[in-house]
Amino acid sequence: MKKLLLKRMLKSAFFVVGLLTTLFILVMVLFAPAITPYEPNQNSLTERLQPPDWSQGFDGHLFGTDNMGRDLFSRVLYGGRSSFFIAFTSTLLSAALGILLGLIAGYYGGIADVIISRLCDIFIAIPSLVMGIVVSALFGVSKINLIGVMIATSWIKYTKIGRNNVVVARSMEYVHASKVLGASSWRIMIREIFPNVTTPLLIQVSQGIGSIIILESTLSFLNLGIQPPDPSWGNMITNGRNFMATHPWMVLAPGCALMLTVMAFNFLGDGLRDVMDPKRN
Amino acid sequence: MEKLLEVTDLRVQFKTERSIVNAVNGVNLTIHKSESLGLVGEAGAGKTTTAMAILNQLANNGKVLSGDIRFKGESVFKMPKRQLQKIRGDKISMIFQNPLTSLNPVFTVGEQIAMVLRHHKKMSAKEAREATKELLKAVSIPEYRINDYPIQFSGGMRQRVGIAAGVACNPELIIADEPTTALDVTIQAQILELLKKMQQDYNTSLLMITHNLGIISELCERVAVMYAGRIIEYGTAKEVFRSPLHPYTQGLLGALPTLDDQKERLTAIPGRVANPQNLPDGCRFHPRCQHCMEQCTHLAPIMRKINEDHYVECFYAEESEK
Amino acid sequence: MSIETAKHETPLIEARNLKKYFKIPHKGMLHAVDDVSFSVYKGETLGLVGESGCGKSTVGNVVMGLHSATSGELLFKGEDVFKARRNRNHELYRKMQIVFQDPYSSLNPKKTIKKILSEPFLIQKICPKGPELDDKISELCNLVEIPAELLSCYPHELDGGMRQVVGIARALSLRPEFIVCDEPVSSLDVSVQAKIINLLMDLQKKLDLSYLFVSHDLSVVKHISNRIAVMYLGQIVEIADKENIFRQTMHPYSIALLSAIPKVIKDDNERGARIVLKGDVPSPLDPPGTCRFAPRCWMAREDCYTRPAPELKEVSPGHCVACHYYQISREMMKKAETANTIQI
Repeated sequence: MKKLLLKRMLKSAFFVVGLLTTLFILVMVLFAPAITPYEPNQNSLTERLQPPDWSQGFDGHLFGTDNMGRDLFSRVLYGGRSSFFIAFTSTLLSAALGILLGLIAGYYGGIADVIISRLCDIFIAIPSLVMGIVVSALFGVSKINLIGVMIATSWIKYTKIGRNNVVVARSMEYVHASKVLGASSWRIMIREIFPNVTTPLLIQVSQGIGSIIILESTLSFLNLGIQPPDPSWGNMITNGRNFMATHPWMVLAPGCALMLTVMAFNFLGDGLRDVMDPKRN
Repeated sequence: MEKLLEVTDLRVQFKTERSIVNAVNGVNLTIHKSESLGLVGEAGAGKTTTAMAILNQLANNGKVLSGDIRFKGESVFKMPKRQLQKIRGDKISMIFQNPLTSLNPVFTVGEQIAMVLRHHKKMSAKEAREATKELLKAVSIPEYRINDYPIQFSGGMRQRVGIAAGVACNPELIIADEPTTALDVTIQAQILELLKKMQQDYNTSLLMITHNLGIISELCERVAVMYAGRIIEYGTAKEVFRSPLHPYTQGLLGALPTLDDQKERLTAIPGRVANPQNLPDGCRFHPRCQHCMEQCTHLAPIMRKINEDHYVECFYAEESEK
Repeated sequence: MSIETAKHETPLIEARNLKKYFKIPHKGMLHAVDDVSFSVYKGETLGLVGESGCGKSTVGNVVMGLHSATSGELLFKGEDVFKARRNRNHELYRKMQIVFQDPYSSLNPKKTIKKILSEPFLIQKICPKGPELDDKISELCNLVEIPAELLSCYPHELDGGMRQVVGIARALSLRPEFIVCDEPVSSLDVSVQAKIINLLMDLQKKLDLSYLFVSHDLSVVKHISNRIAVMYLGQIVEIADKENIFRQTMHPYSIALLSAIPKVIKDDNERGARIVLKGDVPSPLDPPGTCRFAPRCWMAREDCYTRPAPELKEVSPGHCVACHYYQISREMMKKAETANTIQI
């Protein structure tokens, strides 16, 4: 079984490219302090608006500098750190919340299902951007609020996964067998049903991270996310907009990083789906 | 008797992601005009694959390695596509196991039967409708249901519609692939009696594929027992069931609980059904055979005639008949 | 009071007037099980046979608590089972178990065989994970002949027959006294079927088990059962011990059911004409108060459509029938067979 999985993994171009790129980006971002000698918020009046310089290796300004003299390469890496932190935390929390609600809605049915499903319908109707703006306006801008907005927009898809799989699993005879052996509902949900949910969950998670990163960047672009001077790809693009004609690298660097990252996660998500979903034919 | 269908040394292979499946490994079959032949075997024996090959309708990953199938002397593999399409539904028709999926849900029952008639017999719409009403009467479906959709019928009635469509063009050969397996016993009885009647009235040849030995016994003159893609015993149904020679056939008959006598213990054939992805050497059945001899492990037996009504492919059977 | 007086000992399982109705929105009330009573004695098998819609599987599910009964009583050694379940009495979980039909959905695909077989012990807190549990599992495997190497496999690596053996092992793990077998061999090939039937019969002898064997296959039921109950549209129409059900069949439905089964003919003239029922197997939606079989019955009389439904009555020791004209059914059967009537 494992061998088959490996064979499929190697055959899927999406998976291989996605995995390698994602790993590459993660490694770069994680080891930022070791890779770049510059601090992301280190101003330098003398080094302002420098074009990209590859002659000095990592000691030079690989992506150039911005209008405050800050090294763009290091800002891209550190910005990535913030984005990933927010993306991973929110994904983890929304997945946990979503799956829990989905399991309850699916297993118990009845009023619990009605309430949770209607909540899904309500939340799905609210555009994420609007939610972000409203939350920032009401509660101010902070990392916690940002994570909150992310969770509020993403929990629904995990709930649907949980609920649909539970409804299918509920009719399986191995669930009946556990009931007849005296297992409690919770035990059945966690030990019998949940393991069958992990595959679609994993696929959804990898596909979901891409969209969360875009959402965070968009909010930061609108100055409702990560606040300057801390870098985020979104607010870097905002900052570089005024200099686009003359110093395009200020927008290109974070823009390309954003595009590459989201593409990599999407590829990984598609690849995982190809590898793990047996109904490929 | 005129030979209608002749299968010679047919070998079919499927390529899946995991491995190569040798579904049919050298099958020889002949069906004469007005004859009924039962093809019996368990899951994985290669029965359905053989049937699909006759209509040259194997799945995309299936390949005919060698052998030939001739319908009235012409090879179905070498026929031009148009000719094959003409034969399907008109000269050779098929009745499937699951009547829900073999009927198109978006057309009424009347439309579907009429379609067959108009396509093959070039009837006008009016003629086809009249003919359809006659067919429905023949399978005991009330005429007024001609405008109903398949979903409005029960499983048994759907199967009757399938049979009506199957005999619409008065085919020379009907291939029925487990037509009653999904039905209740009393409904199965209705269908079996109907098939018997159709055989008599229309004089068609029948290839009946099933794992139910009782059905073969009632419907078919001859029977071919399949195991691991080969026919291992063949003859008249009466003869084969009265004195089965191949240990597998004996095992199958012994494994069936019967209504008449009380068997002390059912024979459970030991081991697992031969895996078409990994067939044993020599006689395919030897790992499970209690009469396995030395030669069976590396030599494959060939079909030998025991008497006019009985052929078997087994070293042990040959020995004991001497 | 049970209507069967075949034995004078107390039955192990006694079902009294079980009813299970399902409300179908916009359609009405589905009488899946309608006033069913039976007993199963220690060490014996009661076969429950019938076609789709007769309610036999629902009976099994109600007995095991997978559905709650609409009304009726179930006694295990005289104890009220439904009440005990409401009070979460664990003793019953150990005494009554079930083997399912589908070997493909009865085992959790994400668990190894060892994990599946450990569950009952862990759920019932019989022993924790460790050497003691391993011993119990080995003992179980020896009992049903599961080779030890299979313990680390996943269900999809086993064939249908072996998965069913695992399902049986799981049912036996808590050492029950009564097992509901819900079509345990219907999804299996003929040769594997034989293995499972033999296994079930061996285990019954060894462990003095009682079975409620639910199946649509009369031949299988005949082989394994001591007594047989025939169900139609939610009711038992005939119940008798094995010999009598086959030699002295009285209810016209049972007669037609037997007649419908295709037989392997070894000699000429072995097969008599078949009695074929008209129409389709109906659904038990809002059934009438008159005989439910009358519309399809091959020997129905005028008054069968107007008289209230016949009750299940004991007509000879241990043999109960629900039919107004049971006395003449066998005579009618012989007439129908010689006249070679075939009605479709």
